[in-house]
Amino acid sequence: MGIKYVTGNLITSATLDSVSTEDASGFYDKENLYDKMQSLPWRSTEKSGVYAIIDLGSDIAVTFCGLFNHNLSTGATVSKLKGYLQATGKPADGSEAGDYDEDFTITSGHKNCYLTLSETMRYWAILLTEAGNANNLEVGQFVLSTHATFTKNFVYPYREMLRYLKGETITPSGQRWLNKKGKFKRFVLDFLGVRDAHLISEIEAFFEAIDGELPFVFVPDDAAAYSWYVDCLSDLDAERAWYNYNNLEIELAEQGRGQTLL
Amino acid sequence: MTVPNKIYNLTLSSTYNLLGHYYTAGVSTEMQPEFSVDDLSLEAGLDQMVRAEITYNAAYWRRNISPALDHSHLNWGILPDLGHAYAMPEVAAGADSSGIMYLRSYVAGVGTWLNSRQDSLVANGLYMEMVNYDPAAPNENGEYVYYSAFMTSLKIFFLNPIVNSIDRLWAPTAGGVAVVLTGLGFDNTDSELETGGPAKPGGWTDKVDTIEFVGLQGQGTTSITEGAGDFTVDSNTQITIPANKFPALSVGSYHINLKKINVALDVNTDITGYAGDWACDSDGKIFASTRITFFISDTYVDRPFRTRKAPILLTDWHLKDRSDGSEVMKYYSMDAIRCPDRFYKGNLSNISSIPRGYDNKTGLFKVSDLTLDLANNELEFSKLLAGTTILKNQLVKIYQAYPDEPFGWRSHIISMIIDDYFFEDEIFKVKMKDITQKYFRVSVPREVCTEDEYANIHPDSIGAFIPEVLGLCSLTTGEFRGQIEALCIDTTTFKYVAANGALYSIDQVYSDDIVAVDTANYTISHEGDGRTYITFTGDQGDKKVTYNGKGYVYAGLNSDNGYVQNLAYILLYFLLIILKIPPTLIDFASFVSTATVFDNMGEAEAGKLILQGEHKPMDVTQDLMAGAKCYPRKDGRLALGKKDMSNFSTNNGETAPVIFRQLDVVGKYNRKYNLRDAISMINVEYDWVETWDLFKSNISEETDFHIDPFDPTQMEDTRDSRTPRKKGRRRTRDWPR
Repeated sequence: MGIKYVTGNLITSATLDSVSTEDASGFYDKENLYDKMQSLPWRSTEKSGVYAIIDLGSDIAVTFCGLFNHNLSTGATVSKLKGYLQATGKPADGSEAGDYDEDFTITSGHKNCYLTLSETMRYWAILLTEAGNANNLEVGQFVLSTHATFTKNFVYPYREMLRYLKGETITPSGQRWLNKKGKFKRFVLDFLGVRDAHLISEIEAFFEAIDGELPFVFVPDDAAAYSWYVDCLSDLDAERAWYNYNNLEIELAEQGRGQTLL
Repeated sequence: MTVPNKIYNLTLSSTYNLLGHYYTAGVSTEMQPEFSVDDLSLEAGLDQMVRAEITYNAAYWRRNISPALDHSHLNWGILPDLGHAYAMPEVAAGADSSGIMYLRSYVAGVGTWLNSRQDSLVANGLYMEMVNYDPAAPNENGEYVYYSAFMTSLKIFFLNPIVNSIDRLWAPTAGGVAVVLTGLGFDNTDSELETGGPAKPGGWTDKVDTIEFVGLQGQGTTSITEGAGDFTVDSNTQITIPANKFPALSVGSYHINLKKINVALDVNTDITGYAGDWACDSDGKIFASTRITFFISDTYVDRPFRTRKAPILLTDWHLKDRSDGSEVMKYYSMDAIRCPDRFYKGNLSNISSIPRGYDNKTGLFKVSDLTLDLANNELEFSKLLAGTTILKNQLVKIYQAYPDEPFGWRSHIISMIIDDYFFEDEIFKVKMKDITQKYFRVSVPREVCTEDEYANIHPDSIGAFIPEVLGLCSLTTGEFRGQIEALCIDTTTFKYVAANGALYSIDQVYSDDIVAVDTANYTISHEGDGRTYITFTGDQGDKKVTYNGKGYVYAGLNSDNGYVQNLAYILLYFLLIILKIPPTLIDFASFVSTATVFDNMGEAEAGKLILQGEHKPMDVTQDLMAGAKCYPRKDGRLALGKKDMSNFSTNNGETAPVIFRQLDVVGKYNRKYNLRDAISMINVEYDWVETWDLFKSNISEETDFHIDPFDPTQMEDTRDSRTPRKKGRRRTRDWPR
């Protein structure tokens, strides 16, 4: 059991090779897959045979693949990740047999999914098919990278909160009207009794990786299927004390998912 | 019943003398006047025209010669294809004439208008010409023949089906609900398509035969057909889809496309029209509208108040790229909002309240200034300002929508313009004002005489405003005659500019205030710059030249006299043509209905406007309102409204309308609307008790705060000091009414 996080993304304008289709409006292009904004998705014009092909340029180690703010339902027929060695060659549309082939697990009501793996390959493909979906398929963020882990000294269970923002109107007679404005997940990680070794290695590496503000992938419990695309709300503030026993707190909040008007 | 149509006014530079007083035998006036495609301003996509009508005004005078005008030398038609030339209509000598010239829907041996002439009209335009006119013996002993003509409007008829409304906008996934579409052009009658021309052999097959539901979220397209009995075309204005025929559809939003498949034109052509793209009024005049969205849902509850649902504010920013003038669209909301064809970034962090009120003094509605706070994340606005995008004075439309409902159902709250902006830390603050502020900041008239434009201009005319003239302007008695002063713009040819537009007529010309000039000593011309000129046969020196006349002509706004006279239309002309407010920002229907009110009051020909000195547009607007109120609608369009006295019923058999039966006064009255019958004094009764006409006493309340009531009577000018002309000073006489 441990906390995983992913800060980088191997998917860039240079490595995103092709997608099956993209919405004609000009707002939901494939570039949205790696724009660090999960509320603005890549939107295909189909519900079946939807793919995105990645070419990393050479065989590169990948340990994490995640799809964030997608609109797939539980039981989507195909939502899988395929990997291809450089020697195998670049797939045209992902229908080719891969050197790596694994299905995502789509959890009901949870619009994120991820896979952990340990492969070194050049070409990658995500494949999506859900003919019964009411809308054309879309994905907010596609993260392909390596992940890091906090191994020790954080307090478990961490604090996880679901926040519903509300607007309130109260009439002179006291009639109260509440409107749901939005919701998001919030996490508070408490680290107690952190020793120097961990402070210098894991926590400092984490601070450096997220650079204070970048949105990143947070997997609070690698035994569960949940992952989140989060911002770090708190200042990153760690201190080494003489008695070698340090405490710190990190507050994370899920990046906004936005809303859809049909 | 009519066919969907659209009118294009052609008056701005459209009056030409095809045959002048003095000419030589065999003279030709080539292609004048002609309207280029730019003049016509035909919108792209209007590609389903079926025929057209061109209204014209023509006048023909002759003196001392007997031969009638030989019309066979006068043509009009489509540029440049002379194969589509038509003879000018016959005009009797000595009289003005007006009428309609037809571009027919079908011509034997040529085919339908859609196939044979539409492309040429859209690509080239219209013309009039006079070719090789060779009369018997003109131009001797004071003889002359004179023919002027101008097109006033082009009215194009379309085959497009127009949907104005649908009786319900949502249905469950199982279908099974009846839906009625109301509009125009669902099945035009042949005779209306063929007006002005011969019948088309075999008739027209332009009935709507297919309705498509086009899914916006990938649901695909579902079609129903009239042939299969899925719907009935009840009339040219109504289609009914019965409950048992409405198809089952997937959840999501849809656009509705009406099709006339293989309309039998020269080629088999599909005529299509999305519901809502165009709407039309009761006369069939079409105007751009908003595409209708139909919603399929099993959870939607149709109720007037969507309690517990927070509305979403959407802002559409219509900015401009200064490099090429193109429109730059930006979309911001308080959350990231995914819509079918656009995405709203969630930068909007705060918006001030949107109160509305009206100004006591002018009666104009006013909208309080608005401030928007936007997060400058990723330097969004820093980049915008560093680029070539212009924000100042640009339009922002604010909408409200509800979650989980169609984007197409959003409602327009208000449109405003950006007045100022600045950064406050990481917040980009934008201050906005109501849309009229953009156009009312200028001075009118807009045009002045310059040396650059007129090389031989009289020094006194340099920098003088070129008059704008509307309505009947006549002052024929007294010491100072002629209501408008013409400005000398060429001292070598003795030419004066009379008005910035094409006047209907100039009736009298005076030199030095009182001396009527013989009509033989000047000619009146309407030239390509759109202005009206007076050219004298002799030098007028430093004498002031004044004239009386009838103002501008604008098709659709003219009174029965043939030029603009109704106060509502004069105000509309002022806003549209002189202030150059875009048509999209004017609620034309409100001006039409207010004009009708003026008509009913017997004041259809009472209005006039002369702009010669410098004025503020708001002052002119205020004077022109004459008891009406002019205000920006929530969508930003300027509207005009007026109480219609006929709507006040009489009471208890009294003959006059009873407006105030009983007033319980708690303070001094404060006039809110610019009612025509303005009051500055009123008898008020107070201490009302619960018997309808019992009061303890009454007093007279009086205030100086009022607006002069509109008076249609032409008053002689008593305000003009009429000082002699001095270099560097201009006399101005303005009666905005």
